[in-house]
Amino acid sequence: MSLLAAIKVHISRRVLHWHSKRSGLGNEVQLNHKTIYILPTRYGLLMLGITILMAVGATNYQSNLIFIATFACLTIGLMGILLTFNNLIYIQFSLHPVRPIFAGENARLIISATAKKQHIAVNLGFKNSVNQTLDVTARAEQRVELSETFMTRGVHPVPAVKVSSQYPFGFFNAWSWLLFANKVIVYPAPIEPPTEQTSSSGDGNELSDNYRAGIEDFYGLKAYQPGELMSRIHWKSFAREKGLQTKLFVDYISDPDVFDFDHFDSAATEMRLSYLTYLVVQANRQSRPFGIKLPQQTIAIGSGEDHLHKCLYALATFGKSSN
Amino acid sequence: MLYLAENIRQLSPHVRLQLAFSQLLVLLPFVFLLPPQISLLIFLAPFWVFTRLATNKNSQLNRFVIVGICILVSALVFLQYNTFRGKDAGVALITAMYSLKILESWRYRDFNLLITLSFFISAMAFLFSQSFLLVGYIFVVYGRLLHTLTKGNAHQSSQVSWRQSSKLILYAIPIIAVLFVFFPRLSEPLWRMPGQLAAGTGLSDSMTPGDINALNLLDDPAFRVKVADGQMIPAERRYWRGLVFENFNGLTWQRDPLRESIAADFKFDIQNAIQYTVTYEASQQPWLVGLDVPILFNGDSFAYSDGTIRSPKKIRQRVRYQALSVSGYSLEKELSPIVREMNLALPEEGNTQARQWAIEQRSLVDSDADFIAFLMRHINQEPYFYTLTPPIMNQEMVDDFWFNRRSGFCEHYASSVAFILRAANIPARVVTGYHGGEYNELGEYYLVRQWDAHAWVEYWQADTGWQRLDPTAAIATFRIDDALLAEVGERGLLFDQMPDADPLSFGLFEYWQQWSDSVNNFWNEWVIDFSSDTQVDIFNWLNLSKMPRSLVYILVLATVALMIFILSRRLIFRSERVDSIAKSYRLFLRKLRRRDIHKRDNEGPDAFMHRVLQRLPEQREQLLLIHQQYMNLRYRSERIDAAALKRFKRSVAQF
Repeated sequence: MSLLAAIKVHISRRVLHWHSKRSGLGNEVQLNHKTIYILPTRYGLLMLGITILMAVGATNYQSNLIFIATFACLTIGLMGILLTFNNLIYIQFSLHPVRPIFAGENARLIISATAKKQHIAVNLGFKNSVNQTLDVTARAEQRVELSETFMTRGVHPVPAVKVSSQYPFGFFNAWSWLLFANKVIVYPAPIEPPTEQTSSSGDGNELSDNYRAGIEDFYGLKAYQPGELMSRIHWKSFAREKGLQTKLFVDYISDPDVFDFDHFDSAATEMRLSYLTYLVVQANRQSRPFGIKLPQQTIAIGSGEDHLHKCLYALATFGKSSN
Repeated sequence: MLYLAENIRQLSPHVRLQLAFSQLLVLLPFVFLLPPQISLLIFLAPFWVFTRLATNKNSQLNRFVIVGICILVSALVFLQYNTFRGKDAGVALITAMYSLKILESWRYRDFNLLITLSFFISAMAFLFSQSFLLVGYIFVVYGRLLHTLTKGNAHQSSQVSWRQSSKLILYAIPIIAVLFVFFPRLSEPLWRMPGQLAAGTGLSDSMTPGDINALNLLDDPAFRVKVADGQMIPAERRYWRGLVFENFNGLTWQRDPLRESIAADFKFDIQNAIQYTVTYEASQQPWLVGLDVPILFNGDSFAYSDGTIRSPKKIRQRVRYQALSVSGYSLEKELSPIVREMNLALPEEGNTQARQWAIEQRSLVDSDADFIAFLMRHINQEPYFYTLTPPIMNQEMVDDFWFNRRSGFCEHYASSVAFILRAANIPARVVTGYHGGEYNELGEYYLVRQWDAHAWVEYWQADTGWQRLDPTAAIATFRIDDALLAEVGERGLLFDQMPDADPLSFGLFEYWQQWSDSVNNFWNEWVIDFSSDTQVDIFNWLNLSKMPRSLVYILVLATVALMIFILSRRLIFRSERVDSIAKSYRLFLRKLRRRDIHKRDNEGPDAFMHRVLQRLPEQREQLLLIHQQYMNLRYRSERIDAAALKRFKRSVAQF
């Protein structure tokens, strides 16, 4: 990256920072006088040049009619500023909740635009990406879908969405940045681990430790607690004068998996997280219960979409200060 | 919809068609202002593109072909003018290049560039014409350009109404007017532009009658005269003095340089004075005119003792001045020896026949007055002809004209008569200026045109001073060139025998002519001639001159900013199209709003009507009828039934 580009990036970052202080964050952003900026486009500058040229010509030829044309151009230009500005002001944008994605995927950002008046040819887009144009009809919701690729896991802020418009004359470009408070959660990219490292425990072992209280298999005896079922009392033990004892039954879980971070000691951290992601996703797809074990966090075995998200979220934020 | 950067976004054939059409509109005035060959040249490219696109044909040209066309067109422009410098050639070249740009306009970048440039190209027409019709036209073109721009910057599918652009132009007019009146401007050009001024058509510095074999009959206005307190100038007195020539070398009449050293001494009776304002068109000469004989005038001009007025600068722009003339005033009641000598001097040789003839004829009569009367009779009775296309006369101009050709126009007659008078020892000189002028009833002013240019004679007599003698007026009417009879109405005042225009024949056409010249005069006075001087006058009139100038400008800027702000709030560049059913329904909703019944946005017509009926049970039938008509029109029929729509409109109107 050249120095110039670096300076450019730095400046645009500073500008955005400055803008965020002025506009604040929120999931609903309404454009107002404070947050809209306007500058002439090159055609606006050309128009300005033409107007100056005409004024000089009018003075030199002492032609009042050229003066009239000059003032007409001047008025059109000045009106252009306000009309372009008015074409953006008071539009309300709101960002719909963003579905989490895996690293390397496109996040779909659905933005609704509403306004009391009609606004025409409003462009929306991220920096360095293709823009979407929409017409905002009065008192009706318009939706645009933007997408942005995220390459690294984590909880990312939504990048600033640039709203701009050059309507009606193209002489001026009015723009603003929409800074949404919503976050984009990016899970690690799932990568299939090498086969010899797939699971931490033996496959399908009936005698494994993975069981839960149940009714199928006799497990052992334990001291009676008041309130336990009479049918479960082990009368033989009572007869042997060992006191009241209850029969304990368990159900062995068919393939309970706890995926352990430390299992893949040969791989780097990010790779391990990707392996774990893959395993978690696979397990969820096969509707198997699963849990994960990370160095500072263990998520007990469970299943379901919420559980999946909990696990993936833990993987996404692993080693990052979560907030 | 995806939004592509303008340098890759392609123009659709439809937008391109619109672009070519806008270009044709921009170029249209130049057809009347540039030579026909050039007009054809600049019209060709947009017209070709327009017709190709209108007939759905390919309008793409090879890059090399376009370069070839550009070179060819430049060469043709050069052939026409032999230069690329100067106003005419420059404008021709710029408009030609502008017109060719359409051939390679494929993207939005080109579209924006061309439309933006169009604002400039249009204004260039004002270098050639200052007509108010052109201003109106340019405003229309600007509206059209804005509309095209708006369409180009909106979605391709959006309907953009032309009303908004037209409205913007209308709203802009008061702002333009304020800027026009108050915008600070220089009284002098920053630098002189090439080809700024066309050759003048005013009075010439000298007069060589023999050289001329055609008098131009330009109907361009020379000047306009507005007489104070509405006094009328009788037709026979409408002699407008321009220059006085006292020096004749046998060929050319010129001003005598000695004249400038003779002090003027005007004594007059204020009773007979006529005060008037002259609006004098640019003539490229420093000489001004006045009703014979002008005595006083305002400004920094200088009056000579022969009644001529000279401005310190050449008249490059229309000027306005006030002057005072006294009827029947005669200059130089006493002739100084120098002046007498000056006005009797004849070239040493030449025109001997005329000299002898003058001396002989003079000796046959008793007095100078009789001699002059004889001369006039001579012109009237002998076959002297008036023509605007006389033969070119040789060296001995007076002899040749007086004895052989006997046909010519005012300059020949004036020159010969002055010569003959001098030969007869009567001091005489030639005066050029204008004779006549048509009265504009609407504007209450006299319009004198270039074709009213005239030359006459003044001779001096001991007790009366200089007296006017117009030999052309003595020509018998039937000897006026036939070709001239068409023009005679205009030059009619030359010939006393011509009857005055019959006031009953004041037809519609004349009325229109007077009206248009009247408008023109107003236009000239208030728009074209508006200058920094007028600005000062307006500042004084508004009592703003005491305020610091910077404060005034700040006030003006604030006013303009406020006007623009208010107007921009009123202008919303909608792309919505409301059909006539919706318009009527909206009217219905407005009428209900007045009764405080508001339709909610989430309410359909049925639900709304249900609510309305509860509120207005007494108008149940009327409301139900409107509702049913609306529902039928809007939702049941595929095409709008005109009769049903009419009924619906009527019901709403009656509600």
